[in-house]
Amino acid sequence: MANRCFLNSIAQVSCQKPLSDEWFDSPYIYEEKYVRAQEPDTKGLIVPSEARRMSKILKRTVTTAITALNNSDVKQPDAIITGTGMGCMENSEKFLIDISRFGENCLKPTLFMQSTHNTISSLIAIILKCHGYNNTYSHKGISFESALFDAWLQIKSGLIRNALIGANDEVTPFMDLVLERTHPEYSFVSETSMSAVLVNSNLPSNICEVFEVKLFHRPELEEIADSLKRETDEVLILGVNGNPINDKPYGDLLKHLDYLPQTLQYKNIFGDNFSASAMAFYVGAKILEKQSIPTFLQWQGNLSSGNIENVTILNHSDSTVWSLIRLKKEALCGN
Amino acid sequence: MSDKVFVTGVGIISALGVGKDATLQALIKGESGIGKISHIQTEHEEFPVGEVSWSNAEMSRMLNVGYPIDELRTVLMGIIAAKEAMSSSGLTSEDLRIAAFINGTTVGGMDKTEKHFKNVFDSNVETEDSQELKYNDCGYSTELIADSLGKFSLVTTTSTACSSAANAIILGANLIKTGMVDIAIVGGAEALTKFHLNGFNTLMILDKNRCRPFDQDRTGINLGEGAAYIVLESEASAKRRGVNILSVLSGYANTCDAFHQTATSENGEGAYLAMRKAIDMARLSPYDIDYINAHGTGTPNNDETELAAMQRIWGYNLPKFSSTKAFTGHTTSASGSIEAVICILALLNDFLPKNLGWHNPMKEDVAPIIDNQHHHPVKNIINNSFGFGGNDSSLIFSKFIDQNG
Repeated sequence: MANRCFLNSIAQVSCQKPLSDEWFDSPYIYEEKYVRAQEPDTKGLIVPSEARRMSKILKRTVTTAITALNNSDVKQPDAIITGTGMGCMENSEKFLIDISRFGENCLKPTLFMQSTHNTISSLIAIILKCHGYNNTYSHKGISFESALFDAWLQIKSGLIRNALIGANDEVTPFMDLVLERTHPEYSFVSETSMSAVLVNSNLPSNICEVFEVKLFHRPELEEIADSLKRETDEVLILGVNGNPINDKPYGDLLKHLDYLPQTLQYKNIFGDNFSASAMAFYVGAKILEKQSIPTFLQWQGNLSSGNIENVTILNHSDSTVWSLIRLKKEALCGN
Repeated sequence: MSDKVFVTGVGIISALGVGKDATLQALIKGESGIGKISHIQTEHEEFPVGEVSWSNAEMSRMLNVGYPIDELRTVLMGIIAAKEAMSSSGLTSEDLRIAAFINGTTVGGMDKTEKHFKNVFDSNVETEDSQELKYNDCGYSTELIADSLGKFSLVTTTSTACSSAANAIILGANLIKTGMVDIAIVGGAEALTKFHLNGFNTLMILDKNRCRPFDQDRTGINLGEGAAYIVLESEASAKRRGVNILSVLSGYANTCDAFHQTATSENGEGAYLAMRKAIDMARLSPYDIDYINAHGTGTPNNDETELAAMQRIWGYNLPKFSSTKAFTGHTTSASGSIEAVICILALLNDFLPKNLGWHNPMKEDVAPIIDNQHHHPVKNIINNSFGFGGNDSSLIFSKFIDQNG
């Protein structure tokens, strides 16, 4: 795989200020255990008549996708690839509620049409009139990494030159109640929409290099630990959230390391959901771009004071599937 | 990048039966699997469907599995088909440790969810039933299937509605070409659910009679269910294991129609690009294609635009084509791999299945295969899968010719 893969632009809508880096200096801190995303201003990004017909998740998706593209060197991407654990949950839920309340004879087509997981990726394609590769991954907490991995693999091997990737999950109040039962590993729950543009060329406008993306199925923790070393994996962003059920596998993994890394958290700021790891990718990119680490991200170990050359993101879902993303500062980036 | 992606195993379960032999026999006999709905409770019994005949209890007994899999039809069918694919390729659980499992599904555990949803909703989640909603998402279905096979190196799930399985196959092929893995079990599984039966009904695209793809008088889809997987393997690995090569995945493409969430563009741009790019990747001429297993759902919209896309490539000199959905029903997320297995069986047996139920041409001089074609030499087949959102994918399966034999 001869090519390299770079992050060219990135945008987020979450419980922090939408489409903004303000969280880096002054994050919103929530006391509640569940907070919905801050709704973005869609003016200039989505035609108002179309915005009215879109569910919340679709509006957020289009907002981050168009913003990431506008801020990038790519006009029409070769590929649009999205990760989403639950897809368009709000519409699926409404459709299920309608079936259980009113039976099967007066259901609304729009709810179904905008309920599938791939509604998100294809809506972006429809807006951009983009006929390129279009795919959607839905695999629990590694849905985003699956989408990233597909794009990374295709860019590295020359099948595509660039890609618009993203991850989107919404959590309705009803789903949050369900998640409390079904996902006891969660701590603070929120919603995520993140879009990013990846390119194969080393441009001054790039943020960093996406050096490696790896997925694991039921790995031995030694297997992951063996691939980590101080030189490239000094700064680790972990999906820790303070809940022992969720955090134990990370702790077990760290025991296998032969060095002491600096570990960072992000779920205290952006919350948990199936797309949460997309915010780790975003946070990692911002750390490399700004060359500093906000203290509220500190988990264990002292914060780096010198040059930050690498950021490695480790994530697991139910400890059955794991992912590793290695971001690297590139000399030319950010010049 | 290495060029060759071999198919070394197949497994299938659908309304046509369990396993590749039963599937081939049903196709040869011209026996449709479509009938009255029986495994789900619905007010819409007027719509015929292509159900797998076994109940969840029967499949659970056969597989010797219990909670929670016994209530997850997608997983039950997935395990049956994936195990057949594994054994047909002679794979051991040791081989899986360096292999990928890529599964396509959309409704995942929705059948379990809809059984418990009313209780959960009515009680405001204050019921034990709430636990059952955990299995709704696609990834759980995939992992439960994977875990029943063994430990893989990589497991993930594609979810692009009716092209999910085709896109799982495409990721698997890219993994092999880039050397990320040597072996990938790829395909899809999807059980019928009240959720998508009703969803398709709100779009008014279900047929109350047996579906008639490419017929002038077609009025819609019969939904189906099932699972199918194929084993993709690198040349080096297939040689090392000395395994029988069933077919070559010589070309593939994923494109987007980028027109509408549930309708297709008039000139079938996405479908055209998918077929065209797949043919280019296979380094074939359109006239090397001997058969198209069309998406052919039987809706007025799909069949018209799919045919328009085909005619943009071949004009009136269309290759032989048929939709096998009047046999299996539209198995949605699984259709890409179910029809891939049908294409591979066609290549292995020089047999082309007919377009069951067809009577009247949509256009003059354009007809699908009316009678089963036996002893029909076939080298290259296109398999189309098109999903909502314009997620269009085409796969080309080619006959394996042993250069040394």
